Amino acid sequence: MESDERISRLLRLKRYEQPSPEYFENFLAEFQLRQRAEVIHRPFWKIAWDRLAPIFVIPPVPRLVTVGSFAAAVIATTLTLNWSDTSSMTQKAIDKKSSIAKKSVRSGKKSGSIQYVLPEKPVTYASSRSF
Amino acid sequence: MSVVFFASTSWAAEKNLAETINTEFHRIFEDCRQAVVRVHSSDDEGARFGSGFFIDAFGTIYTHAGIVSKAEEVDVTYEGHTVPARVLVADTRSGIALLKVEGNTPFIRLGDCSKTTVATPVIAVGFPGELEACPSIGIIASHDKQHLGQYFSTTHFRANMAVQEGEGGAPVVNMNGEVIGILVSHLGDASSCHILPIRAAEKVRQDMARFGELRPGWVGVEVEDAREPVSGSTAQIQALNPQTPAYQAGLRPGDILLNIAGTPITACEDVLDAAYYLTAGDVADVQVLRGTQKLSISVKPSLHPSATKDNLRVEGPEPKDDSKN
Repeated sequence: MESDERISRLLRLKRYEQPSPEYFENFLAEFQLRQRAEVIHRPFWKIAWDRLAPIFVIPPVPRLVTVGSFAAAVIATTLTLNWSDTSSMTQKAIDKKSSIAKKSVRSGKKSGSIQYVLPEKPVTYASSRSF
Repeated sequence: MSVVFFASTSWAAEKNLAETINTEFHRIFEDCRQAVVRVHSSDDEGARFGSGFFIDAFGTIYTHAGIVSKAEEVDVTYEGHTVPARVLVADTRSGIALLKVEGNTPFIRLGDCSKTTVATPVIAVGFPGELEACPSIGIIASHDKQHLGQYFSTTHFRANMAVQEGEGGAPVVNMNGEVIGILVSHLGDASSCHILPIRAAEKVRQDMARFGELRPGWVGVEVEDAREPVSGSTAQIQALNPQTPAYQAGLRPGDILLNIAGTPITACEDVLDAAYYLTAGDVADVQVLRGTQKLSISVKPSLHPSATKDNLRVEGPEPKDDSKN
């Protein structure tokens, strides 16, 4: 009960307590100065994000989803690079085959097929029963 | 103390052996690579690629007959440049061909293939596909007279060695770096292969050197299995046409073959090897057993009936130019 009485007295005193008149005169100018300073020291991307964020309604993203998205992006990039390497190697092989085919064409022959020789069947006309 | 000494000595010996093997394989491969060529031919069906190798300093090449037997143009690539080649002969009996290019060339020495026994390590150097020349290491597994029921013209070496398409015609060398055979076919899974002994290839070259053509000999004998071995042989002459060189020389049905031109005969299959090395026109001694009498009869073989133009290709087209690419 005593503490309630003390609080009521303090509030009555504070009701008539006010800042000096200079405070109200400089308040607006000082506020704008601080606002500009904060803007100047913020990175550009953060400012851009603040401007754009209200346009798109982005729901709060769980951390797991963020990490998963990052991992997916890394994997996709790696696969893309590998595919690029493989396709360049394949292209080299095709180019080499083409050069062989072109060589055959230059020599006036059909380049229908390219055969690398090592047959599976033995070559013979021998008979074991006569000579 | 002695145990430690023995262990360290043994370890050093093993290390030296490993280094020696490593050095030898490198040396053999480097020596061979210079003389191994990629053979390219073209005809109406397309382009064929295979391997080959120089056997002398004058540009003579052994290769696979399948690469050049139908070719209208042939060229070989070695030491970074390509030159036109002339087909001297493509022999479908042995499965090999002889080519010739102009100029001085590196070459691989030929070895004695009679010493190539089972479990002899061998190295092939050829051009698999579009790749550069590379070595394949294997071991002789057997001496085969036939494969899947089809007889070779002469005994072939079978080696457990991984080979690939494009290596047909590659040299197979022993651990002295000497050619003991030519790679002619693989066995389906390409983990083993058949090799024509270099002696059989040399028969082709000798014929070309002596006569300018191939002269496989034929005496006209048909053989059958005797009921039981006689003097260690079961090869019995079955039938003889009076017009054949064998009959005219004095051989008769029922004779047991013991030896043909220095090759011992113990079974019907043995006549293949003996027959392969017969040369038309060259007299060959044939030993037979007739009853209890051992006879030595000289036979003069004629040209093998199968040695037609379909099976031989002699003197291919001249190279168009000698320009190097």
